[in-house]
Amino acid sequence: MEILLWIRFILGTLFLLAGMLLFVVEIISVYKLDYVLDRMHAAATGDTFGIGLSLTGLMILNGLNLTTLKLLLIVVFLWCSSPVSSHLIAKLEVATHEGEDKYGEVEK
Amino acid sequence: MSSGIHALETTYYFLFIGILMVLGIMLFLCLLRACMGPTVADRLVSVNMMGTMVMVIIATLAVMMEESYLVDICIIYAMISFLAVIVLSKVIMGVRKEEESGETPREKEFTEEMMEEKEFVEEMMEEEVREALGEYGKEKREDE
Repeated sequence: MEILLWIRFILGTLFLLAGMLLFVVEIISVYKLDYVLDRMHAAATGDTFGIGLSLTGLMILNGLNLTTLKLLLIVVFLWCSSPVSSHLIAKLEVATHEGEDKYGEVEK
Repeated sequence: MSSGIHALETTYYFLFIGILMVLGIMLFLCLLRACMGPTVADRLVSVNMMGTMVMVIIATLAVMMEESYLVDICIIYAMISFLAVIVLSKVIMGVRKEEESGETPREKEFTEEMMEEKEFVEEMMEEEVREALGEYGKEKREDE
Protein backbone atom coordinates (compact mmCIF):
# COMPACT_ATOMS: atom_id res chain seq x y z
CA MET A 1 0.00 0.00 0.00
CA GLU A 2 2.87 2.29 0.85
CA ILE A 3 4.47 1.84 -2.54
CA LEU A 4 1.27 2.96 -4.27
CA LEU A 5 1.33 6.24 -2.34
CA TRP A 6 4.93 6.79 -3.35
CA ILE A 7 4.10 6.07 -7.00
CA ARG A 8 1.26 8.59 -6.86
CA PHE A 9 3.61 11.13 -5.32
CA ILE A 10 6.24 10.65 -8.02
CA LEU A 11 3.71 10.82 -10.88
CA GLY A 12 2.08 13.97 -9.54
CA THR A 13 5.43 15.59 -8.86
CA LEU A 14 6.56 14.88 -12.41
CA PHE A 15 3.48 16.59 -13.86
CA LEU A 16 3.78 19.51 -11.43
CA LEU A 17 7.47 20.03 -12.19
CA ALA A 18 6.76 19.86 -15.93
CA GLY A 19 4.20 22.62 -15.43
CA MET A 20 6.73 24.69 -13.48
CA LEU A 21 9.27 24.17 -16.27
CA LEU A 22 6.73 25.48 -18.78
CA PHE A 23 6.12 28.52 -16.61
CA VAL A 24 9.87 29.19 -16.44
CA VAL A 25 10.10 28.88 -20.25
CA GLU A 26 7.17 31.27 -20.54
CA ILE A 27 8.86 33.89 -18.33
CA ILE A 28 12.18 33.59 -20.18
CA SER A 29 10.56 33.90 -23.60
CA VAL A 30 8.43 36.85 -22.47
CA TYR A 31 11.64 38.64 -21.54
CA LYS A 32 13.57 37.49 -24.60
CA LEU A 33 11.14 38.09 -27.47
CA ASP A 34 10.77 41.70 -28.47
CA TYR A 35 7.36 42.17 -30.05
CA VAL A 36 3.96 41.96 -28.41
CA LEU A 37 2.45 39.34 -30.69
CA ASP A 38 5.46 37.03 -30.20
CA ARG A 39 5.27 37.49 -26.46
CA MET A 40 1.57 36.76 -26.56
CA HIS A 41 2.31 33.40 -28.16
CA ALA A 42 4.59 32.47 -25.25
CA ALA A 43 2.08 33.71 -22.68
CA ALA A 44 -0.74 31.70 -24.28
CA THR A 45 1.44 28.56 -24.11
CA GLY A 46 1.77 29.03 -20.36
CA ASP A 47 -1.91 29.84 -20.01
CA THR A 48 -3.12 26.59 -21.55
CA PHE A 49 -0.38 23.96 -21.43
CA GLY A 50 1.43 25.10 -18.28
CA ILE A 51 -1.65 25.40 -16.12
CA GLY A 52 -3.03 22.19 -17.64
CA LEU A 53 0.08 20.20 -16.66
CA SER A 54 0.40 21.66 -13.16
CA LEU A 55 -3.29 21.24 -12.34
CA THR A 56 -3.14 17.65 -13.67
CA GLY A 57 -0.29 17.05 -11.23
CA LEU A 58 -2.34 18.53 -8.39
CA MET A 59 -5.30 16.34 -9.41
CA ILE A 60 -3.13 13.22 -9.22
CA LEU A 61 -1.77 14.27 -5.82
CA ASN A 62 -5.25 15.04 -4.52
CA GLY A 63 -6.89 11.75 -5.40
CA LEU A 64 -10.50 11.34 -6.50
CA ASN A 65 -12.59 14.06 -4.86
CA LEU A 66 -15.00 16.81 -5.71
CA THR A 67 -11.95 19.08 -5.55
CA THR A 68 -10.44 17.17 -8.46
CA LEU A 69 -13.51 17.87 -10.57
CA LYS A 70 -13.29 21.55 -9.69
CA LEU A 71 -9.63 21.62 -10.74
CA LEU A 72 -10.68 20.01 -14.04
CA LEU A 73 -13.33 22.73 -14.40
CA ILE A 74 -10.65 25.41 -14.01
CA VAL A 75 -8.55 23.81 -16.77
CA VAL A 76 -11.53 23.55 -19.13
CA PHE A 77 -12.56 27.13 -18.40
CA LEU A 78 -9.05 28.39 -19.15
CA TRP A 79 -8.94 26.42 -22.40
CA CYS A 80 -12.09 28.24 -23.46
CA SER A 81 -11.27 31.71 -22.16
CA SER A 82 -7.58 32.07 -22.97
CA PRO A 83 -7.97 32.17 -26.80
CA VAL A 84 -10.73 34.76 -26.47
CA SER A 85 -8.61 37.08 -24.35
CA SER A 86 -5.59 36.54 -26.64
CA HIS A 87 -7.75 37.47 -29.63
CA LEU A 88 -8.94 40.65 -27.91
CA ILE A 89 -5.39 41.65 -26.95
CA ALA A 90 -4.25 41.10 -30.54
CA LYS A 91 -7.11 43.27 -31.78
CA LEU A 92 -6.08 45.93 -29.27
CA GLU A 93 -2.49 45.77 -30.53
CA VAL A 94 -3.68 46.15 -34.14
CA ALA A 95 -5.86 49.12 -33.21
CA THR A 96 -3.20 50.94 -31.18
CA HIS A 97 -0.16 50.05 -33.28
CA GLU A 98 1.82 53.14 -34.17
CA GLY A 99 3.09 52.74 -37.74
CA GLU A 100 6.78 52.71 -38.28
CA ASP A 101 9.08 50.27 -36.56
CA LYS A 102 11.25 47.42 -37.78
CA TYR A 103 8.22 45.11 -38.00
CA GLY A 104 6.58 47.35 -40.56
CA GLU A 105 2.98 48.40 -40.49
CA VAL A 106 0.26 46.14 -39.17
CA GLU A 107 -2.60 45.70 -41.62
CA LYS A 108 -5.80 47.17 -40.27
CA MET B 1 -1.65 15.93 2.80
CA SER B 2 -2.27 13.28 5.42
CA SER B 3 -1.08 9.85 4.33
CA GLY B 4 0.13 8.35 7.62
CA ILE B 5 3.71 8.04 6.43
CA HIS B 6 5.98 10.59 8.01
CA ALA B 7 8.62 10.69 5.26
CA LEU B 8 5.97 11.15 2.56
CA GLU B 9 4.35 14.01 4.47
CA THR B 10 7.59 15.93 4.88
CA THR B 11 8.41 15.40 1.19
CA TYR B 12 5.00 16.74 0.21
CA TYR B 13 5.53 19.74 2.46
CA PHE B 14 8.91 20.64 0.94
CA LEU B 15 7.63 20.06 -2.61
CA PHE B 16 4.73 22.43 -2.12
CA ILE B 17 6.85 25.06 -0.35
CA GLY B 18 9.42 24.92 -3.19
CA ILE B 19 6.75 25.26 -5.86
CA LEU B 20 5.13 28.18 -4.06
CA MET B 21 8.50 29.95 -3.77
CA VAL B 22 9.29 29.48 -7.47
CA LEU B 23 5.82 30.73 -8.42
CA GLY B 24 6.21 33.78 -6.16
CA ILE B 25 9.50 34.71 -7.82
CA MET B 26 7.94 34.28 -11.27
CA LEU B 27 4.96 36.41 -10.21
CA PHE B 28 7.37 39.19 -9.26
CA LEU B 29 9.12 38.88 -12.65
CA CYS B 30 5.71 39.15 -14.37
CA LEU B 31 5.00 42.35 -12.45
CA LEU B 32 8.38 43.72 -13.57
CA ARG B 33 7.50 42.84 -17.17
CA ALA B 34 4.19 44.69 -16.82
CA CYS B 35 6.07 47.78 -15.61
CA MET B 36 8.63 47.56 -18.46
CA GLY B 37 6.22 46.87 -21.32
CA PRO B 38 6.30 49.70 -23.88
CA THR B 39 2.74 49.29 -25.17
CA VAL B 40 -0.63 48.74 -23.55
CA ALA B 41 -0.98 45.27 -25.08
CA ASP B 42 2.29 44.23 -23.39
CA ARG B 43 0.96 45.16 -20.00
CA LEU B 44 -2.30 43.33 -20.61
CA VAL B 45 -0.43 40.16 -21.67
CA SER B 46 1.64 40.17 -18.49
CA VAL B 47 -1.39 40.89 -16.31
CA ASN B 48 -3.05 37.85 -17.90
CA MET B 49 0.07 35.78 -17.09
CA MET B 50 -0.01 36.98 -13.49
CA GLY B 51 -3.62 35.84 -13.24
CA THR B 52 -2.67 32.34 -14.42
CA MET B 53 0.17 32.08 -11.90
CA VAL B 54 -2.01 33.25 -9.02
CA MET B 55 -4.51 30.57 -10.02
CA VAL B 56 -1.81 27.86 -9.80
CA ILE B 57 -0.73 29.25 -6.39
CA ILE B 58 -4.29 29.12 -5.04
CA ALA B 59 -4.81 25.56 -6.35
CA THR B 60 -1.51 24.44 -4.79
CA LEU B 61 -2.50 25.95 -1.47
CA ALA B 62 -5.88 24.20 -1.68
CA VAL B 63 -4.23 20.80 -2.13
CA MET B 64 -1.54 21.54 0.46
CA MET B 65 -3.87 22.73 3.22
CA GLU B 66 -6.73 20.36 2.22
CA GLU B 67 -9.20 23.23 2.12
CA SER B 68 -11.53 22.55 -0.80
CA TYR B 69 -13.17 25.99 -0.63
CA LEU B 70 -9.92 27.52 -1.93
CA VAL B 71 -10.62 25.82 -5.28
CA ASP B 72 -13.91 27.73 -5.51
CA ILE B 73 -11.95 30.93 -4.98
CA CYS B 74 -9.66 29.80 -7.79
CA ILE B 75 -12.61 29.38 -10.19
CA ILE B 76 -13.92 32.83 -9.31
CA TYR B 77 -10.45 34.29 -9.76
CA ALA B 78 -10.25 32.76 -13.24
CA MET B 79 -13.58 34.28 -14.24
CA ILE B 80 -12.73 37.71 -12.85
CA SER B 81 -9.32 37.88 -14.52
CA PHE B 82 -10.91 36.87 -17.85
CA LEU B 83 -13.51 39.61 -17.41
CA ALA B 84 -10.84 42.16 -16.47
CA VAL B 85 -8.81 41.52 -19.63
CA ILE B 86 -11.92 41.78 -21.84
CA VAL B 87 -13.17 44.98 -20.20
CA LEU B 88 -9.75 46.66 -20.21
CA SER B 89 -9.08 45.90 -23.87
CA LYS B 90 -12.55 47.07 -24.93
CA VAL B 91 -12.27 50.29 -22.92
CA ILE B 92 -8.79 51.10 -24.23
CA MET B 93 -9.89 50.44 -27.82
CA GLY B 94 -12.88 52.74 -27.37
CA VAL B 95 -10.76 55.52 -25.90
CA ARG B 96 -8.24 55.20 -28.74
CA LYS B 97 -10.99 55.41 -31.38
CA GLU B 98 -12.40 58.55 -29.80
CA GLU B 99 -8.97 60.15 -29.72
CA GLU B 100 -8.40 59.31 -33.40
CA SER B 101 -11.70 60.72 -34.61
CA GLY B 102 -11.09 63.94 -32.66
CA GLU B 103 -14.58 64.14 -31.24
CA THR B 104 -16.68 61.79 -29.21
CA PRO B 105 -18.68 59.73 -31.72
CA ARG B 106 -21.44 58.98 -29.30
CA GLU B 107 -22.27 62.66 -28.85
CA LYS B 108 -22.41 63.18 -32.61
CA GLU B 109 -24.79 60.28 -33.12
CA PHE B 110 -26.85 61.51 -30.25
CA THR B 111 -27.26 65.01 -31.67
CA GLU B 112 -28.15 63.66 -35.13
CA GLU B 113 -30.76 61.40 -33.62
CA MET B 114 -32.09 64.27 -31.58
CA MET B 115 -32.46 66.46 -34.67
CA GLU B 116 -34.27 63.73 -36.58
CA GLU B 117 -36.58 63.13 -33.68
CA LYS B 118 -37.29 66.81 -33.31
CA GLU B 119 -38.25 67.15 -36.99
CA PHE B 120 -40.41 64.03 -36.77
CA VAL B 121 -42.21 65.30 -33.67
CA GLU B 122 -42.83 68.68 -35.27
CA GLU B 123 -44.32 67.04 -38.38
CA MET B 124 -46.53 64.82 -36.25
CA MET B 125 -47.76 67.78 -34.25
CA GLU B 126 -48.59 69.73 -37.38
CA GLU B 127 -50.52 66.76 -38.78
CA GLU B 128 -52.42 66.31 -35.55
CA VAL B 129 -53.33 69.96 -35.42
CA ARG B 130 -54.52 69.80 -39.01
CA GLU B 131 -56.59 66.67 -38.40
CA ALA B 132 -58.11 68.13 -35.24
CA LEU B 133 -58.97 71.31 -37.07
CA GLY B 134 -60.44 69.28 -39.91
CA GLU B 135 -62.64 67.23 -37.59
CA TYR B 136 -63.71 70.39 -35.85
CA GLY B 137 -64.59 71.89 -39.19
CA LYS B 138 -66.55 68.73 -40.17
CA GLU B 139 -68.52 68.80 -36.92
CA LYS B 140 -69.32 72.44 -37.47
CA ARG B 141 -70.48 71.73 -40.99
CA GLU B 142 -72.71 68.84 -39.81
CA ASP B 143 -74.24 71.11 -37.16
CA GLU B 144 -75.12 73.63 -39.77
